[in-house]
Amino acid sequence: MDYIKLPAVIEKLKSAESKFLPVWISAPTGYGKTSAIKDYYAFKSMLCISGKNGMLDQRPEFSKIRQSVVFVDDVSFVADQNSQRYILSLLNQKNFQTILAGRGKFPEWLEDIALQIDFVFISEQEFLFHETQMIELFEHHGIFLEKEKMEQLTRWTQGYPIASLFYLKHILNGEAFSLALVEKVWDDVFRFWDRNIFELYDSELWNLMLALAPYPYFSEDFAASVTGVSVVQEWFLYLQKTGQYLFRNENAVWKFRPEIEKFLCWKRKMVYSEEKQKENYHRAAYWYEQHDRISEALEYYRLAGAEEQMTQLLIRNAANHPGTGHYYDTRKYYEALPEQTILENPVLISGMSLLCSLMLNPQDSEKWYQELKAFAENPKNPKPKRKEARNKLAYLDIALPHRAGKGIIKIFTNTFRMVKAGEIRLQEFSVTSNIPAIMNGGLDFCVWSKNDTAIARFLGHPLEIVLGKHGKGLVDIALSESLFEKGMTNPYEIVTRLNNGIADASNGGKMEMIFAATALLVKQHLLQGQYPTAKRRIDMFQQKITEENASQLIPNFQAFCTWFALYTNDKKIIQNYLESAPDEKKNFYVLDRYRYMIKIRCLIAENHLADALDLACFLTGYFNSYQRTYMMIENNILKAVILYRMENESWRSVLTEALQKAEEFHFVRVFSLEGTAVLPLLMHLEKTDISEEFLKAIMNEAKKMALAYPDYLNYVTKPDIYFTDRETQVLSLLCQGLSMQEICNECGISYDGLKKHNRNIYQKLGAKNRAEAERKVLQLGIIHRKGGEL
Amino acid sequence: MRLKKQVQFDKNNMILKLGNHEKKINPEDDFIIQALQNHVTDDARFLRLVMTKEQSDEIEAGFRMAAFVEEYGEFLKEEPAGTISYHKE
Repeated sequence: MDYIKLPAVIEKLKSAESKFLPVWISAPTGYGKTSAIKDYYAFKSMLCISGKNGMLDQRPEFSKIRQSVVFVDDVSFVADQNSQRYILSLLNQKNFQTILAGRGKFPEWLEDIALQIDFVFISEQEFLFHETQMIELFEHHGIFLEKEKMEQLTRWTQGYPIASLFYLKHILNGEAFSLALVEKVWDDVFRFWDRNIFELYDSELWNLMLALAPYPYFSEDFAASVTGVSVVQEWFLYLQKTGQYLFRNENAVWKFRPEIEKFLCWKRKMVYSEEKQKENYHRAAYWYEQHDRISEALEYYRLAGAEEQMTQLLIRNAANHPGTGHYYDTRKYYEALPEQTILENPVLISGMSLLCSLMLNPQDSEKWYQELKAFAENPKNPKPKRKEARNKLAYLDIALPHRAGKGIIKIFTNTFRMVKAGEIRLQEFSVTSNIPAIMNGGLDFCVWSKNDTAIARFLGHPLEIVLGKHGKGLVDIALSESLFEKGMTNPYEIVTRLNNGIADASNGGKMEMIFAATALLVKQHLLQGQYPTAKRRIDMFQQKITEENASQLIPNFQAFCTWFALYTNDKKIIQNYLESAPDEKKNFYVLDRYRYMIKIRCLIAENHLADALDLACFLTGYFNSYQRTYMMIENNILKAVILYRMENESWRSVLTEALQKAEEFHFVRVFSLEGTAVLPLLMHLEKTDISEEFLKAIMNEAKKMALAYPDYLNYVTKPDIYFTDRETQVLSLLCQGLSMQEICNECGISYDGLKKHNRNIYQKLGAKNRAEAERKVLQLGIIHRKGGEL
Repeated sequence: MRLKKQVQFDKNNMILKLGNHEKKINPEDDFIIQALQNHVTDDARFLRLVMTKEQSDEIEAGFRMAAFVEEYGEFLKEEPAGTISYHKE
């Protein structure tokens, strides 16, 4: 078969030839190194020497070499010192050009000479097939495929020449061009590698590679533990040297090349028995467990079918991570356990009850709760386990989200009595669920806001006793939150109280409390127009998160920072947030509720009103059934804003509902913080039963916020701009990032024609150039960023 | 802690009334309502009353009084936050 020429390779060989420089070619097997050299030097005499077996297969005297080119292949394998010396001497000869080829990195023993002699380096990237080479290859065999198929083919083969050849073989055999062929082709490639690469390797090395195949990353310690091989580092360096099959990052963690990883997994399926696979996974799981990497340990115990170890690990993990977050992370493993296994352990039963509640399944949560109760009451169960069950029941009575904290004071009273009597031990738990709020934190305590000072006076000290370090600063911060929301207390008192709370929490308390207090301080500063002070608070807290390694706060802190960025309409932060925000359509998890509320605001700011409304409506059901009063009010306000912008009159009833509920508690700030977004609605709202004093309080503050932060949720009325059909099409393609030529091709118009349309578009938008036009259409909400659709 | 001025106490039926709103007093809360009627306002006195009546400690009494406020809050006068002192003295 004719060789498909690669321009980059040809150019470098020409340059090396004209300057009589040696060449070093590095690429793994199947990239066509040898074919490239033989094709280029077809009309020259060439001596070929191989180093495949660790030493050169011939070392003729230089004076007897008559050829004009000496090509030494498989230099990476040359370990014999005489052979290495021979190559070094070759490079100093003037009678012929020297071409060296290897599969791995530039050999260390050549580095000194590379300082004295200029080499021309050709890397594997230059051997990859692009579309042009693919077209040439196929057309040479009489196969003509559409441009789109050639693009697909280039993607599927990743430009790997040998894969392209295998693909061609299948097409020539009459097989249809399809995605199903991809697997067949890669099977061919793997068989090729099996025959041509790995047959050269020592069996210990082979075993090492197969044992590590399924693991995306591994340290040398991990590798030694899983494989039982002690000299792993030497083998890893050997693999790098002879084929660049392994990479190491700055953390001294190794990784196979992706295609090699796939090959090894393919080979492993053929040579490993099921028992051997499980044993391998078990070793890996044990290593991860010893290194406290619970998620990985659980996953590999699961793959090893080691149910007992998985169970014990889940139990230990639940004890070591008292917050609810870890249940979501490990839910797959809870769900994988047989029901009987769960029913034998109160920690697992409790975990299931909590998990179901967190996943919006209160019925199953209560079912598991009843199982736990039955376990505690069953005299046949061992005493220690029954006590554990009672501990867990006390915890669930407080913590189950769907119970919404009903009768929580009585629950606390009973819990305290039982703790005092030594009947139970209450586990640690987070009051805020890592949300920057307490009254609207783990549970909704809006009802306490009606008598906040009296409840705080009586409850403060007892709560601090029951909650331990989770209670430090709690009462000051929770009371501040209630007073802040009502908007009737002197800011000085609120700021003083919050700082007291922070001081308490900083002294042996929890970061979650400081987060809640910081958020309130930021809101207070924003209300007073003190944006820089608010920003400094956030920066200080960010530093504290890093110092205290409070990684559990990061997702909600990121959401909080995004909320703050909305006040200056920082598009970059808003768009980044939307790309990483949780997706309620995949899995809904109640602990993400704060992040969802920020997501709604970002969607509004980006004018994705339909998506924002979808999410707000979805959350309504959850807020209702879990009695999240505050978030229900907040959600209704945002829904009203969305409906108003959609010119849907339902906004009035939705906003009125929010006002009526908020009035019960005199919650002013939940409205006024929405400033410029909610102000037009308040101004257009007709007379309602809402008290004038309450409405006036909201309006006054909303006006101040609107003046101070006019870009909040960035509502810009759509101007009357009319584009023709062609202009609409061109504008859409411009925003998708197509080049001018591509747009001409797509629209079937000339370059001059396109220029004319562009001129009209810019003029209508008042833009000077393409970049400005794109910005304007986004700002005006004429176009969405993703997909560039109008 | 004190009752709102407009609150009426129907002793015979053990009902608190405020405008159109009525609430039956639970028998176990009667002694606290009586104390309010007798112009007891000091938190510490309420706590001592509960501790004596129910043979509980100060922590339980604190929970008890908080539960009372939660139950009858709409009849109680809201106090400015500046008067709050919740730490054990």
